[in-house]
Amino acid sequence: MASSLWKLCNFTLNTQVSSPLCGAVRNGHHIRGVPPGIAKSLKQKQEEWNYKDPSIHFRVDISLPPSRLSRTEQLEERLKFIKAQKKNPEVEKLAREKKLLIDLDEVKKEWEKTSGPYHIKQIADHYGIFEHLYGDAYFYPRVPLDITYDVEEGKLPVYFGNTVKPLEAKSKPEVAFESDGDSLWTLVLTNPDGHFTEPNSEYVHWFIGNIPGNKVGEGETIVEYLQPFPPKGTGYQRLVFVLYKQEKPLDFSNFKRDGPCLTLSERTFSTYNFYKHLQDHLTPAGLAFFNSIWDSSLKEFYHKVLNMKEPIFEYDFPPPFIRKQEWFPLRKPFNLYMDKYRDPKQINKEFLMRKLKNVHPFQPTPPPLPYPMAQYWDGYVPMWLKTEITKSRLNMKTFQTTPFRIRFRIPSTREQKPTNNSKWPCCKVDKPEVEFITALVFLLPTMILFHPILSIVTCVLEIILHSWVHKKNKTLRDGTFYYKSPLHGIVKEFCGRCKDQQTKDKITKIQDMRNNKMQRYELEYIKSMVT
Amino acid sequence: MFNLRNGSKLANNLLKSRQTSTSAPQNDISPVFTNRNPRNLEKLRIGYKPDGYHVDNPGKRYWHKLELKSSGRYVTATISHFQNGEVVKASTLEWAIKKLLYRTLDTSAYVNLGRVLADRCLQSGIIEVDCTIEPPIPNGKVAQFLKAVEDGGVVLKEPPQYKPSRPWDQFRPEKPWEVTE
Repeated sequence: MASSLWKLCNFTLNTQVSSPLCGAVRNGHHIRGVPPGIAKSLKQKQEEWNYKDPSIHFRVDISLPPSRLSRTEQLEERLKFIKAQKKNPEVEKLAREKKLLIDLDEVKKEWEKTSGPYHIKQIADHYGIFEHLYGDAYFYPRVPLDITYDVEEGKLPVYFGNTVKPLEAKSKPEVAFESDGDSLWTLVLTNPDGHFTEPNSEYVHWFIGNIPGNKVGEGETIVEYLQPFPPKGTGYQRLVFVLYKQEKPLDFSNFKRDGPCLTLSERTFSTYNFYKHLQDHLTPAGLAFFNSIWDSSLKEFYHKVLNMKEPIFEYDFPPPFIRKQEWFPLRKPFNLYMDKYRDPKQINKEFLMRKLKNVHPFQPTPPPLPYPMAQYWDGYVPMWLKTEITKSRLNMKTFQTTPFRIRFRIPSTREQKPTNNSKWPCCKVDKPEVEFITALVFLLPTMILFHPILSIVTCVLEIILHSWVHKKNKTLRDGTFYYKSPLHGIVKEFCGRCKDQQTKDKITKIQDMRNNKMQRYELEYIKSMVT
Repeated sequence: MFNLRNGSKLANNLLKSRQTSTSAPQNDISPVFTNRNPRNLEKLRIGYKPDGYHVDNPGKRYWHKLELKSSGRYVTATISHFQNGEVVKASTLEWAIKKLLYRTLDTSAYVNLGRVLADRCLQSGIIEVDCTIEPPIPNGKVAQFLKAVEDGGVVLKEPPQYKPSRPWDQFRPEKPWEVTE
């Protein structure tokens, strides 16, 4: 702002006459847009971007109703308790000596009755449980679930997101919850993350319906228990226990699976549809979930129980951004620049080949040089090659994927249309009309050489043969062996495809020449390095 | 998200085995696997973590962060996520904790709050949290709170985000999910 004002003031002055009079003008330092104090901060902008209309994006509470307690009664009771606590000399003494350690189990028991459901809902939201199971609905788990797996060291409880490995969850857990004798319950264990074919589906791992009271063993088993089996490389999967309260005995024959049910497609499940189907008679009451990650015991499980090969996955990172190749990249080290546009597989292959060059199957590998850097540089070596050779001598890791063998590739307009067959790329001239015109052009010289009728016959025959040869060559895989028509030498002058091929060959020849040059350079230095 | 290693090979083999044996259970696998768990990538240390700007105050680069607030009567400790906000909470205001304390703001309240928070963190699968709280007095209330959290099994330091190495990088750090005990 200031500099532009200054410019405006000095507009009429002649700078050529007396430049010091005009003062210095700083270019290129302006505040663009609204100044910081007034403009929106990133946080405000993000809030604006992430704004959701509450009339459309609202969530529905489907939980059991909270127990109705008189607030005044509760307060009176609590006040009484606290007063008694304050008068307790033992607690006071411990607190003043900073030795008061409260019992965590007792805290948890009371927490489950008071703020527990709200906290569990919060953490379940954090893990995206409701979003993936119920869409826009959520619930407060008012019935505390006590689920424990038997492991060698003792018992492993399931809380709200702790990790339980597949080996520890091999057999079905013990489930306990508080209930009066005559109510009916349903327990479902689902995995929203592990489906092998449909990413938005779940696998049901355990399904027990019509549980009388809290006796889970007496319930009707709809789907047998199956341990979690997160495949290697996919990370943590959530396994969610949901306890539903039933209003009457229900018929789950739609969801019934007989036997151990080891065909995974049969275990496909959608909590959303399940709940939608039975929402008049079911109310979600309890929630517990754990995370499970691959461990070595799963190999056997996949092979013996599921009877399939163990799948191994790898995270698909987004590829690094590499800008479009330029004809004249300025101020870029050319060798590193060129390497960026090569196929990394090819680079690795070349590296391996070079490494194996020095390896003899029956002789021991030569010992490494004691002073690899104390080598004589014979003659002129370009700087870039020096650094690359130095790196290779020092066994630096960059060498693994970016070796100094460079193939010059010319960025061309042709590359925009990738061809299927690299040996015989199908050219652009592929239309029959164009070939017809070239055929007419070819007719004239043959008319001069032969008898008119004979020339027409040979011309037609030659053209048919030539186009057939092209078609045949397109399907060839071996580049060293290909078909030619009898008058190929003459016809190729008129054929668009052949012309295209010729120019392509020229480019590859130039590339090969440069490539060979680089190889020679490099070979000499490898020789000098070893000897 | 997750790509099958040797995907096409395995799929072919599966197809073959289906043609030959009919008694074995048939399990399809698609070459791309999607894990919907929103915390998965963070647990694998490859999830996005805000970097902040280099002139920012420390305490903006975290997945989960420990925060401690004390009012005139009560003290509250929370674990907040950089996107989801508050996820785990413990406060001496809660009846479950208040009931067993003598006072809600003394040292033993802070220590017990730390223990309860650590317990809840472990139960909800949060083992590592970022912490920028600097205790004003060494061995004071806050220091003892932090010590109680650490003793409870929560690590007060988060690992850095793993960023994939580019082909031209010199050093390639080990992939955290390939390390198994």
